[in-house]
Amino acid sequence: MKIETTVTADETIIAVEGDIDLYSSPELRTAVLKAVPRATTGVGVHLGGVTYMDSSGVATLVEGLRSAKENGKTFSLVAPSTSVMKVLELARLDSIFEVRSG
Amino acid sequence: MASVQQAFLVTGAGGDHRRVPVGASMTVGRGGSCDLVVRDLAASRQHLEIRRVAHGYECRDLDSRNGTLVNGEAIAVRRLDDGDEIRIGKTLLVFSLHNEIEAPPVGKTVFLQTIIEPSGSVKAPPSSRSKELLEAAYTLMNSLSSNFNPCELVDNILSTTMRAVRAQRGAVLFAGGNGELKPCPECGHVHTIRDGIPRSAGLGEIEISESVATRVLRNGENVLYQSARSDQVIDPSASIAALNLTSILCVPIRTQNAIHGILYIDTDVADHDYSEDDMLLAAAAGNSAGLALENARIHRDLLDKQRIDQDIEAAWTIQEGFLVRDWPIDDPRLDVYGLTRPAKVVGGDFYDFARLDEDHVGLLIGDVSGKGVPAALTMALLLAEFRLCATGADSTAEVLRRLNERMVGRSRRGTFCTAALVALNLRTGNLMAANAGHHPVLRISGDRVTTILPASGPPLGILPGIDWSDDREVIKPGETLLLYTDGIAEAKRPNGEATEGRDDGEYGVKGLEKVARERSGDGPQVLIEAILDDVDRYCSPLAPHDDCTMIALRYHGHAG
Repeated sequence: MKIETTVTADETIIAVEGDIDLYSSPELRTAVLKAVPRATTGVGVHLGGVTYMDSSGVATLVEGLRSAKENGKTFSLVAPSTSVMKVLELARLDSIFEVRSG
Repeated sequence: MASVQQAFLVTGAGGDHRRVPVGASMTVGRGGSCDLVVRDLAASRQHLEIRRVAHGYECRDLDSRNGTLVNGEAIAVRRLDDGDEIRIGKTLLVFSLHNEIEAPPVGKTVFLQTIIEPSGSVKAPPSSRSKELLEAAYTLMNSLSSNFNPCELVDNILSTTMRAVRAQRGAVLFAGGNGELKPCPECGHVHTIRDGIPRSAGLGEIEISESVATRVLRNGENVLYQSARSDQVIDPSASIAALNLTSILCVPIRTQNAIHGILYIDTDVADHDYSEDDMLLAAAAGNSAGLALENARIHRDLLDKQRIDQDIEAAWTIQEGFLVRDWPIDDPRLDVYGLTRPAKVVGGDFYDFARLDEDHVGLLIGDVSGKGVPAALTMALLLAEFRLCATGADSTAEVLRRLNERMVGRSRRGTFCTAALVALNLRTGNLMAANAGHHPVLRISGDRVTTILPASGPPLGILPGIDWSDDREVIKPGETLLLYTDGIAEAKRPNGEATEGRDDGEYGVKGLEKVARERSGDGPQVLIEAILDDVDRYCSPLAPHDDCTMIALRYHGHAG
């Protein structure tokens, strides 16, 4: 898994590539929880390059979402890959997260 | 290696010989301020000096009372060549020039002072001394590799080393967090030996040169201190003098990464100096001790882990107690069976079966995110709360809503739970179901297999105030409902490749459909066990990586 955080004037983008699983999700968690309170308006997690995401990855995104709500920030998933979208749709998580294409 | 020749003064012979580097200059005499102190009554306080000069070295007599002989001739100043013999009273020093590359020392070795004893005082023939040291090293190795008790190890190391170097007193001290000396972390005492008798002492009871001990602990040096009483440099606290110590041997107990403590040996017996060979043996003992103590620690960690594993297995027995195992056999309207098989010792999957009233039964299946103990604890709590929330609720969605509010309140680190709840009216075959982010339900009607009741909302425990919908279906007598978790649906081929046209190489609904058709005439238990076997075959030779859980109900219809 590769993570790249870009801070812009309004939103912090965390771009993730590779597999988000039990072993890599702690790294994503650190990045997300660090970015949320510092972001100007909110955080967008770019999931276009994610090849696989398990429930620990979903839990990380859920924690990010909850942290954003506590901090009064927005939290969105950007351009999720097909495999991520499948996970989100199956569990109806698309009704919880703001998902946008780009 | 520098090409400059190194000069040494050598005394003694065989295993007892000592080589002292001369450097740019060196003073020799009886006085404590000399670079090389000789304990020979015939020596003057400042007896002679050896200096590096333009093309070699020279020896200059410093107006000594009894004079200096080089190769048997009294000299005032004399150029030195390799092999020249310098005599002061009864003490013989050999001047040696060498390009010799020294064998790498075990640790960095500091020679603080070297006393050159009168040649007549060698106690044992060198060959027997070497043999003794070798035997000691062998004994050390044997005792270290066969013992996992840290305190016994420490006692063994100390006593073997002390016997070998003929020491009267010694102690092992450990490193505290801030580089201070500590007693044994195991028993809280300092392991000491005095005159062959081991004794546990308090830190305040032992008399050691703390400056030497602390120095070894901090720098990891081997320190050999000979005739310490005459030295003024090493111990500003003057504890060496106060303790009347004549010789100290102190080495670190170390592993590759850290210094764990020190092995300290000293003596107040006059004319008893530890030798370099003694120090090398002690240094080897210190290294081996570090390794052995590390081994003992790893061994104990393993035992601890075994104990934790046993606890976890016990936890699973408790967890299993929450799950239904007494399936109803007295109601002709249904057959029901469920099981869960954790991927680790404990799992986060759960199922439940409940009689809601005379004509209604409820089926629940769920999957807590994550694995292992945290997931198992959440699962146990959820299962207890499900029974609480189901009481008095008039719809499946209401039960999930209640469960969600409870779970959101205490969810940590993004833990969530997918769950599907189905209520069946045994009189009519009417189903009411609510699905929180879980897999749809499989409906098996002969060889017709369909998925029904997909998730109508997100999993439990994410956000408060979520409403799920109550979805409805009607099933006919002879039909079977199967609820399952990720471990089944997402079971993977070992090579991760897609096979038999299944998406992403996952077992999926296609795998379930195949077994369901083959087993359409069988009851829930046979069906579930056949699916589990098929999943195992699918993943073989690996084990499924996630908890595998299923619950199935076959509806026979309401007679009369």
